[in-house]
Amino acid sequence: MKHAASFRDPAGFVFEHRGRLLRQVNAAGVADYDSLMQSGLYEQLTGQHLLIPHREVEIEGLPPDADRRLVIEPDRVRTISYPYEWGFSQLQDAALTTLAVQAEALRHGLTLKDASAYNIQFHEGRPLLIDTLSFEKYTPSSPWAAYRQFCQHFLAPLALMSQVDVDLGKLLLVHLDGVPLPLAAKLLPRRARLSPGLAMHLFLHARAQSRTPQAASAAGPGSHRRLSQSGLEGLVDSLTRTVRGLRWRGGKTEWGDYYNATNYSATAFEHKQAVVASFLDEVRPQTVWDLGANTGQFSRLAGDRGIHTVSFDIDPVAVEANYRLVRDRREPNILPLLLDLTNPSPAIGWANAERSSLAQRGRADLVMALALVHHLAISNNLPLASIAAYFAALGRHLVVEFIPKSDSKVQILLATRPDIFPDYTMAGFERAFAQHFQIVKKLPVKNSERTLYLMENLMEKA
Amino acid sequence: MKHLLAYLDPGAGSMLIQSIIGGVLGLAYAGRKTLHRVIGALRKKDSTEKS
Repeated sequence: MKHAASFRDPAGFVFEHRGRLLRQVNAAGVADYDSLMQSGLYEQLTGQHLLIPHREVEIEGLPPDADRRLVIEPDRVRTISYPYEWGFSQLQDAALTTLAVQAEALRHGLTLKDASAYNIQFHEGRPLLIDTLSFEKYTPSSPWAAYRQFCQHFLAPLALMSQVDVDLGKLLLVHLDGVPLPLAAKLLPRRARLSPGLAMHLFLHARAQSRTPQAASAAGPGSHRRLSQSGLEGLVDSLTRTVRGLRWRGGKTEWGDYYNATNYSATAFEHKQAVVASFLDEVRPQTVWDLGANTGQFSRLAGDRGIHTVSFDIDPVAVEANYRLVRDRREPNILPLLLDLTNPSPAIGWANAERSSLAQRGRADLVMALALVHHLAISNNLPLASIAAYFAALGRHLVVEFIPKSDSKVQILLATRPDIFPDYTMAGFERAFAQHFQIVKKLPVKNSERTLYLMENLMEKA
Repeated sequence: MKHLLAYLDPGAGSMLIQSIIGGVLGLAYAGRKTLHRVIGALRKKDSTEKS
C-alpha cells in the first residue's frame, strides 16, 4: 500500500506492507543509493543523528514490479509532524539540519535533490532527514536544484516568523510547497533588506523568480547556469549563517506565565502530579498525547517514564519553551507541537491525503486533558458530549480534569458573559463522558476544587 | 549536465541567482576558512611558544 504522499520521486517510494513501513528503491534510484552507502556518507550522517538509519530487507508477498531493485526498512518515527505544527526553533533546527546534511553530502561527492521541510521529522527529540533517497551524485559546476525549495520551505517562513509575526508559520498550511518568495518579500518590513543573507536569498531571489521567463527553462532548467563547488559550499554556508541569525523575540502571551499566575497551591500541584503519575503507572501507555500541555510539566511525568509523549499547545511561546527544554536536556521522549484543538491540523495536499489530520495520526494509548475542558466548554461553547466524542477519537485512555464553576479560573471565563452552561456540573460532565468512556478512577485534587479522572475508551472494551 | 532524477522544478530564476551570487559567496567562504585556519595556527604557535 503506497503512502499517499510518496509519488513524485522516480527513484523510489514509501509503502506499508503487513504493518511494516518500507521504502522501495527503483532501478532509477539504485546508483545514487549505492553512492550514499559506499561513499561513507551514510555512516557519517547516521552517526551524527542527521539521517534515519535503515536496513536492507527481503520481503515476501509483494506484487511483481519490474522497477523494483531493493527494499529498505527505515527506523520508524513515532509521531509524524508537519512544519506548520512546529514552533520557531523547531523549524529553524529543521532548516539547519537540512543544510548540515547538504554540506556533509558535498564532502562525499553527493548532493540533495530536494530540500522539503516534509523530509525532516523529529526522532528521539531531534530533527533528521527521513528521505534516504534524497541524495544524488553531485555533478560539478551544477547549481543546487533544491535551493528554491529550501528558501520557500524554511528561509521565508522563518524570516516572517522572526520579523513580522510568529503566527505566519501557519502559511505553510496553505502553501504546500513553502511560502512563495514574492509573497514573503511583500510581507517583510523594509529593514529586513539590511540583512545581506535575506537580501540575497529572499529579496533578490524573489525578483529573479518573477523576472526570469519560463521560456528560458525550455532548454532544460538552468542547464547553462554554472556554480562551482566552492560557490555551492559558500551558498550553503551563507544560508546556514542567515538561518542561524534569525531570532524570535517571543513575547509573553497569556499562557507563558501560566504556572506563576495560577491559583494552585504547592500542595495542590504536587498532589495533581502524584495522581497523574499514578494513572500513568496503572495504564502503562506506549504513547501519550498531552493536550493543552503548556510547557510540558505533566508531559514530562510520561516522558521521564520512557513514554513517547506529544506535548500539544496552542501558544507558540509555550511550545517554544517546551522545545528548548527538550533540546537543552536532550530529552528523547517529548515532541512539542502547536495545536489549536478547536481547529486541529486538517488533512491536506493532493486529494486531501498527502498530510494527515490530527486524528488520523492517533489514536494515542493515553490522552491527557488537564486544565483544558473548561476552556473548550465555556470559552468555546463546545458541548461536553462533543468534547468527549473527540477525545474518544484521539485516545484509548483518558486522564481528564474537571474544574467546577466555583473555581477562580472558571470564574474569570464567566466574568464577561452570561452563564448559559447549565450542564457544566460534575454530574453533567460525568454523564457526557460516560457515553464514550468508562470512569476507572476519580480523585479530588487536595487543596483545590478540581477532580481528576482516569477513563477507559468504551471501544477498548468492545 | 543531466538531472534525470530531478523531479523537482528547480526554477529558472533560482538557478540564475546562484550563478550570480555563487562566485562572491564562494570567495567569502573560502576566505573565512583560510582566516580561521591562520588564526588557529597562530594560536597554537602562541601557546607552544609560551610553554
